[in-house]
Amino acid sequence: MELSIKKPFFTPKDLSWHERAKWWKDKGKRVLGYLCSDFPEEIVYAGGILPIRILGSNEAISEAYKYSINPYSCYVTRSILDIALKGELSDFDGLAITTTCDACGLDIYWRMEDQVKGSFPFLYLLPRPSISKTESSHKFFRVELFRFKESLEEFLQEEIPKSSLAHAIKVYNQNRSLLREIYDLRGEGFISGVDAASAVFSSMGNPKDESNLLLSRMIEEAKVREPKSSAAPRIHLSGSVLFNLELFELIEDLGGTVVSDDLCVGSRYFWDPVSTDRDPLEALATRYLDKEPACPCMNTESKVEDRLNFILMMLERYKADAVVFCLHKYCDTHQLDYQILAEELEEREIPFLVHIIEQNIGTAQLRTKLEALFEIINGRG
Amino acid sequence: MAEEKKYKTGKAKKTLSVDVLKYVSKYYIEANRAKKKGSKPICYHTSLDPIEIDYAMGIIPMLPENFAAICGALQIAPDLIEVAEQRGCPSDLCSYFKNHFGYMEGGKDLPSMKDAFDMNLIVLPDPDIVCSLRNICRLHPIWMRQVARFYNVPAFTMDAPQLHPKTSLSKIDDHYIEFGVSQLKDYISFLEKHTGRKFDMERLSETVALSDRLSKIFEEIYELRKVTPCPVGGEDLNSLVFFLVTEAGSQEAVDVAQGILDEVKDKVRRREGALPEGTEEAHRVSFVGIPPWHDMATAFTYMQKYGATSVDEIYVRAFSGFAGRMDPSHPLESLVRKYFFIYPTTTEQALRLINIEDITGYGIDGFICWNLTTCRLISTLIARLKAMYDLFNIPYVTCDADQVDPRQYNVEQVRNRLDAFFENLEE
Repeated sequence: MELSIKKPFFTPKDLSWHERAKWWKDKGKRVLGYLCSDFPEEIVYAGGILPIRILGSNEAISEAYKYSINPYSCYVTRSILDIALKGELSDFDGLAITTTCDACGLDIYWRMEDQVKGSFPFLYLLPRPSISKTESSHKFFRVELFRFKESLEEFLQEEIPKSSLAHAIKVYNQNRSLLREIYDLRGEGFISGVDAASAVFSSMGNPKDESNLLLSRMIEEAKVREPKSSAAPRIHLSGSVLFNLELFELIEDLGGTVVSDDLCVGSRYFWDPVSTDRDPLEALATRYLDKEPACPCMNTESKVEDRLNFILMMLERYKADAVVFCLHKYCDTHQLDYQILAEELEEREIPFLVHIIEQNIGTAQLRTKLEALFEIINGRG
Repeated sequence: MAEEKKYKTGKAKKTLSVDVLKYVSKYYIEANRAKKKGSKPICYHTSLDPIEIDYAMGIIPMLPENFAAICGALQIAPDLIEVAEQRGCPSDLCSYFKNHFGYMEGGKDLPSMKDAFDMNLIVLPDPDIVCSLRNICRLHPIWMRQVARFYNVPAFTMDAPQLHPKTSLSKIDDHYIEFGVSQLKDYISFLEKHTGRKFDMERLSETVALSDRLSKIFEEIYELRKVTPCPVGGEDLNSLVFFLVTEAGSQEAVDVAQGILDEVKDKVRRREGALPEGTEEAHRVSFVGIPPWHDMATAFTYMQKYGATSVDEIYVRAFSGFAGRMDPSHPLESLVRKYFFIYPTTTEQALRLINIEDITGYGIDGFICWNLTTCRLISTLIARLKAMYDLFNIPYVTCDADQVDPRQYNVEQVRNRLDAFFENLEE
């Protein structure tokens, strides 16, 4: 199978979860699923395992409702459980979950343990503090990362040497740097919003070294193109997980373009690099606690201000005209942060809209909202 | 004159002689007096924060959640929640939060509020500082940050990380305790900085000793509830949470609790149950979730017609701690054990043990799961517990409702479900 950015390996339309894992396993290798952009994949990669991000999907839930699942949790949680209960993750050797929100971070772990028991030879819950930027939280998380590495080594029956960790960090940092370059090229009109988003989605499921080759090729091709110069409304997307590229496509269909984001499937996944001038685990602990843009689940003193500053920085860097918040129903942390972010944007007279999504993005209603937003932007000249 | 209430729901019939509302009113009056005189700072907290430190430093802890429960009981929460929703709060967001947010955002000046508060003298004084320990839900600290922003006061947040699944409550890893103690020390520095008050470890040992005494008294009450007939039902125990959640570390709470314990002991001696005289105890149930403060009658009194009583509530027990006794000679470590390892942060194994104890120790026939549509944590917890009940084939009934907001509440539907549940138990 030939990988390509245009038809990314990771896009749900292309391959099922099962097929994705199988493709790698056929090469005699192992696969580990993870749920959140705050999971230190580098440790897994250093152990020779392919980490694949499990996002959930907008397919209707069929299996999970036969069990006692929480109907008042977000669709991401319910969908991931459904995918697992349908046996779509049966080729995965393991699943690792960072404790972020109460639903994704914890409920899924217990459910996997209770109801999908035996499916994963390696099932791990990684406790992560919700406070960052303090010595005590870093110290705590270092211990937990060390414990995770030890458990993985026990599962692999071999040690993960420091040199492998350092190499993994290097490869991952390269991926981050390439994705930033792609974002910059998108900002200048060399790459479309949809293609840049594809690059991130693709990176979350492909082996990073191969992904880096694809991204480099994409950048080379883009640089020789004529940049698109357009007066289309430039949108910053804010939110968590999107199951696919539908929202990016809708915005482009309506004549706009996505030029930046702080999504869990966007810049929140890759923006900050890992430091290479210290012990790898220490560097990973710092990166995955302090990284920007922060997860709304974090409770660090300056979290909302930092999130706002990140959005403002992205608006300026990519000359975005407006912010579109696309938030999942029942996602309390995003919805609460939104209240403050909205106030701040309003004060700065930055146009924005909020749209609540569940199984689907609610195209019809969103289309009307976006059209109204674009009129405001265009009216400003 | 007060307007007629829009939502007609009911109060439960209590059996204990203690007048909890009297103590609540007294607490709020004293807090408002202190605020007016500037004699003691007010610190807002979310539930299950280490308020023993506040008591040791002469700071008054106030809990907007407790306030929301009172608003629920007084049937005034819907008006406040409507204000919050008009200000953009989504309808599926925590109704405790929305109650308080609506109060801050102009709700306190609504005529219905004034009537209710004048009647009960319960007014929430403005905070001087705020604090939240994230040990229950992810929303708590963000709530307090919003309060800090609204009142322009300093805020402090602590975090209780999820216990690693391989950890047992009897052997908690050192780095968990160290992380907790370090944050408590930072909290103390924060209080010293922003209140100008000096911290005294000996004084903290005293408040921790009082808190432990309070928990121990409650544990004795829980033990006595294992007796048949159960001397005191959930309608009483839930309202007593005020003392555990707001006054842990005070002498008053210990004195009140001791009086309650004596009364319960006396009832056990007289073989007097929680059910009305002449009603035989036929079913013993456990109530899971935050109770509907707006309709305690349906949640607890209604079941009496089936000879049923709630003999245990996981919600109440959460507030007295379950990671062992506190040791006043190690106050900070004790507070970490009490507050950092609770239901949401603990292991599945611990949760199961508590439920097994319910079934074996309390002789429970089934569970009433009061599923909160606006609470991610309770709805998740209940979903997990129901999976466990299914596994062990234990009867349960689920009522989807809210703890303070009766707007979407269908009392008839809830009662129908309870009827079906108890009729099945009888079969």
